[in-house]
Amino acid sequence: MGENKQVLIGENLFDMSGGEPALIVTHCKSCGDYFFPKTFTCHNPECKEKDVEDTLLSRRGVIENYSIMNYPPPPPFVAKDPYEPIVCAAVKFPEGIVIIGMMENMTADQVKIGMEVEVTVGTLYTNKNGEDIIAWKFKAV
Amino acid sequence: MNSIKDKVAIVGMGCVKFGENWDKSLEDMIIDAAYEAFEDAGVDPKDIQAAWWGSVFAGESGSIMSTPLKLAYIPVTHVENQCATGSEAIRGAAYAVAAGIYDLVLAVGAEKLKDTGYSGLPQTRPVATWSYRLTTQTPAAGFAMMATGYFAKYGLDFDEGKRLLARIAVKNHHNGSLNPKAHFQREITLEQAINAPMIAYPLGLYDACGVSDGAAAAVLCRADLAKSFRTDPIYIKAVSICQGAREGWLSQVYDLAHVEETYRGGIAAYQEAGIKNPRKEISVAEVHDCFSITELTIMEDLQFSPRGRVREDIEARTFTLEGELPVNTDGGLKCFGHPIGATGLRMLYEVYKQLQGKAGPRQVKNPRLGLTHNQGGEPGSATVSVLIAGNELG
Ligand SMILES: [Zn+2]
Repeated sequence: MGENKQVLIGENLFDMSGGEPALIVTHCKSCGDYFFPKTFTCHNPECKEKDVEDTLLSRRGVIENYSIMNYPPPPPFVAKDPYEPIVCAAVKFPEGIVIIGMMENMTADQVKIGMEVEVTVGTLYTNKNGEDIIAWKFKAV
Repeated sequence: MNSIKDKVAIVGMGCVKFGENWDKSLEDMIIDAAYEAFEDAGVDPKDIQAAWWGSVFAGESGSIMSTPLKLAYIPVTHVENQCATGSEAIRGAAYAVAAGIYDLVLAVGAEKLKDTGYSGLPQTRPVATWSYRLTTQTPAAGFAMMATGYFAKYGLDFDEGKRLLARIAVKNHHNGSLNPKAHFQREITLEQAINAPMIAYPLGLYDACGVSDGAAAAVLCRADLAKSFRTDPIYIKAVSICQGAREGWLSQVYDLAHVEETYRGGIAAYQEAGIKNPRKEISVAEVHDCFSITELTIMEDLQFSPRGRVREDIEARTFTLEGELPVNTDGGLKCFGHPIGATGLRMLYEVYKQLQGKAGPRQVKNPRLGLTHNQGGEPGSATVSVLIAGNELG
């Protein structure tokens, strides 16, 4: 992150109070499902109770799946020029939820299924106004 | 619950040549597809009592279709249901006939994408609510995750997985090379498919379908009137729509190696059609090969292959024109692209011609039942259609 103005991609996505970023999720006490970003109700179609609470997700998970964006994502994403392929990972957390995000400092030949990663916060892209769009990302442990 | 089986017949169909149709407007394509269907059915457009129009991008209301076809003062319904839009138009038309309200109806689907600059599925959701986690991922990268997921789950290394996907692309391009209505009509080799530029690892150029303009149409009537239009009508056996209500890719019940909506949509259609063994009973299938990995997982979700074992069937050439269960005999989305509103009807056009024995060099042997399948969106929140049609009653 450089001198640019930093703009969060959304509100209430992560909590920095512990010094390190943790994702804010909603836990349904009735069925056990977790949701991200936080929500006001349970989205499990089989769940009727909807007794939900916000909580912080474990900071570490395991790469369940990944792909490489060999071409840049569509707008509003602004790709770096020249474009470097971006690694996307689906990370499974101990609570059971899977969250997709971009890997920080990881190349296509480094990523592997089963790799342990942790939540971080970083620049997703820099928009046309020169603002850094900040989101959750993952990095190798 | 009632079944639609044998209540509705298809008595005419039309389909334009798909491609970069710079010299044709959307209206031109609608007219060409609908009039081929009218002539095929031997009906006067004035006899059409109601119509369904499927398009995602053409704009609002039924007037986009009723104006060029001069279908004045009859009910025309515009439908949209993602990649299943064309099939949803057929479903609306079929249900209205089955309900006994109309005797003769029309379903049309069309899309003109090339001159809009459209270059693949757009990010349809704004940066809002739960879609945060998807906004930076291309659709190709999403399907690529299904490929890495499938390879990992069933122990295929990159070369084995890539080769398997390439066989699907080679098969569909071969079928497209035999079809004058396909956008792409050239054969490709395994080596070309394997070595093509990567779009979203592990998916390369030939693992993805193209972007095309196209239109297709069907004339439907009450089954008991069908023989008054033609000697070889095709009867609808099932039309199912299956909609996921989970959280897209992020659903905790997903393995990223299958699509539950396709599996459940298949079961619903097989029940409606009275099919016990789809692998044996279905003669020909047109499925949603937006990416090669999609066709691969569909073979298992529709129960054509046992879970995790589609590789054996692909290697045994089961789904080729000469195989036990030919799939995407017209070339599929691979060769027709995906003008969204038209796709379901384009698939039905091929199944209709196959069941009538009129598919020329692509004709499969003695078909009895044909299936079409569309799949839109993401596993967990996908929209799936499964239609089954046959050339005999009962
Ligand atoms: Zn719940």
